[in-house]
Amino acid sequence: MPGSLYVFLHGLGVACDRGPYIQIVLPRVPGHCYRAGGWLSETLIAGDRILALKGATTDGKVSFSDPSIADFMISLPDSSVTDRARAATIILPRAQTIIPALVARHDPHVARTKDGSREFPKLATVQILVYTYTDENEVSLDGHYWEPAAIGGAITLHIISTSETPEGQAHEDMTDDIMGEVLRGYPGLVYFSPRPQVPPWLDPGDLGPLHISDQPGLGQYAVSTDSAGNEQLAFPLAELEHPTSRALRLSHLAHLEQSDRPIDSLWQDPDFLSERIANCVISGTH
Amino acid sequence: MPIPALVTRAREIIAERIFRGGEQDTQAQALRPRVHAVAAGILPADDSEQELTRSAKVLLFVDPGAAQCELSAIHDFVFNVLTQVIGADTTAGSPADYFQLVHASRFKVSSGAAGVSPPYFRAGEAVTYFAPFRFNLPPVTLGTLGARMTAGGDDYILSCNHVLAHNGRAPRGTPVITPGPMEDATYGPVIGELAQWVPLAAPPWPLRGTPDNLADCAVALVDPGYDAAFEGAFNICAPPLYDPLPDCTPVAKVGHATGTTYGWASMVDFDVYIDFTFGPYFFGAPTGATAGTGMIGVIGRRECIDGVFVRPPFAAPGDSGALVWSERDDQPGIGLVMARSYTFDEITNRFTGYIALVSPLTAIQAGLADAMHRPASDLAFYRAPSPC
Repeated sequence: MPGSLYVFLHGLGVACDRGPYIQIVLPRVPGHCYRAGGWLSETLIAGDRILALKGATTDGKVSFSDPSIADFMISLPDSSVTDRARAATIILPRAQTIIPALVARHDPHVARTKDGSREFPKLATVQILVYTYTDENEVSLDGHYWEPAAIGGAITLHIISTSETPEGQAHEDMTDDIMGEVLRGYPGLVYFSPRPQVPPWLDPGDLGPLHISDQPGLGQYAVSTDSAGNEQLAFPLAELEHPTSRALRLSHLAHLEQSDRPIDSLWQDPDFLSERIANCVISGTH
Repeated sequence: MPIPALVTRAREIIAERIFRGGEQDTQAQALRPRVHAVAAGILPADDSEQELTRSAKVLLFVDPGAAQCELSAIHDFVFNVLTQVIGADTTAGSPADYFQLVHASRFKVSSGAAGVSPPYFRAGEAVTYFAPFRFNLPPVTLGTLGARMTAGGDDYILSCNHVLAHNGRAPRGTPVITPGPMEDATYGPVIGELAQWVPLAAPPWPLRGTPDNLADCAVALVDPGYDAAFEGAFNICAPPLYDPLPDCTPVAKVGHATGTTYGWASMVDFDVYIDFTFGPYFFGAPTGATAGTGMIGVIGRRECIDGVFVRPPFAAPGDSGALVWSERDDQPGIGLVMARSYTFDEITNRFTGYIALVSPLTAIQAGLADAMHRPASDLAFYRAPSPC
């Protein structure tokens, strides 16, 4: 059965074009976890693997070097990727579209290069690559065991490259140093302080070709509209959530169960306000 | 089992409204998050003659965590449906006599999960596929070789679709091995290759209780050199398979995880979503003239262990694919173990037991015959003698 595949990139990565493919390098940063798989069932990526997405249609043309996408990421055209300090390498076909989501915005910048030569006023904290597929049984991430599960024809794959616990400035400084190993000519980055706010996953704002649909009694979903005007499921909004806050949310699950409170409202309960945008976002280079 | 016509009719209406109803049926839609299965039958409190011969009821399986107001809403909904079905029949009694809310977890498949080792096995060979380079299949899994099937002069091994084929994610021709990587670091010998399965149709979104899948089964063509599991196997198709299941039937099975166990097939016609690792699928109960031939629910038979009566699980992870047969008459086949749920006391919420879900052999025979383009009468099923 054909359908749509949504690949979520959470956290730190370096993207570069390789012909018809996009190469995503996940830098090896102490304290980061590297997982891939279905939502809430991602499993650890074994070290130094090269993972390749198979089964998705390969007639897409969009990559991170497209100006409309590059505007929402750290764009470093004067740098080039090395083979050092890699946790994993992901090979993806060019996408049908890329949705920069949960975008932090600030003038003059959310982040800038240390020499001030480049400023980045908009940064997406999660990038979603959209593909189609013709046979769900052929969709796989070669090199990593993952069972795609389609709901209404929609499959989501999450790739995580960040900490699952809140990190401080020391970690961010270390991340910046490691980026200097991954990228030749890395200029270093400075983030505006205090950090600009990121839209919550409950109210993500613009999702490109997708819109938000309320399903009575069930929740809010991102959906697309087919040629006949019917809504097609993309994913529940909760899939946008950053892995760090998601891990905290799942720890609430333990508290709810231990204190005999209903767990239905896990994604509607209040959140405490001690998270901020970290420096783990996708950068683009050659 | 003889299910009163009004119970069958009420079950069909309730399942239709809850699982397939439109958004305009707000009363039924409000129940959907809490009601995860509907069936007909009995859930006997003990193994007494009185309990086992109680009249069948509509069984609604509800989340154990449902609030009292939600349970009241479910109760009112079912009561109203039964009142309408009973109508002017003054001999039928109260609607409350015809339904029961069962506090149970959602049904999950009973193939072995990676990292879960069966505690022991006494019988029932383990079986799995061999496809280490298919990265969209779990590298380690486990099921039970259920039965032998013959068709057109060929020998096949019968087990569940989610054990051997993962709904086609293991392509035709994939080697089938025993016992598999969960128990043998060298994987074990190849005993056949995946030949056919009854495809499961995925539900559209939003989920609306369609389409109706009827069987979870797959067959592997047996390697000519392998026949060890079927020495002395005898036909379970003659006399004809029970259709529908009579009474509260005593049944047995031999599974890889829990060996030989005994139970009561006391529930039929489940309308239920099953979450496989490759997605959720809806299994719908036949309606009308074929009512009573749908998915079967089995509870374990009570045993006295150290002076305490317990009801052990009829099946556990690793038993998927195990053949269930009736202990009556000529021991005809009933179906294949495929999933299980947990029941809870409605007041204390304490765990009370297990329900194993069995994919009926009649639907398996019909589904495989259709997939293999053969008449159903061409397919014969055999089981090995019980080891006990």
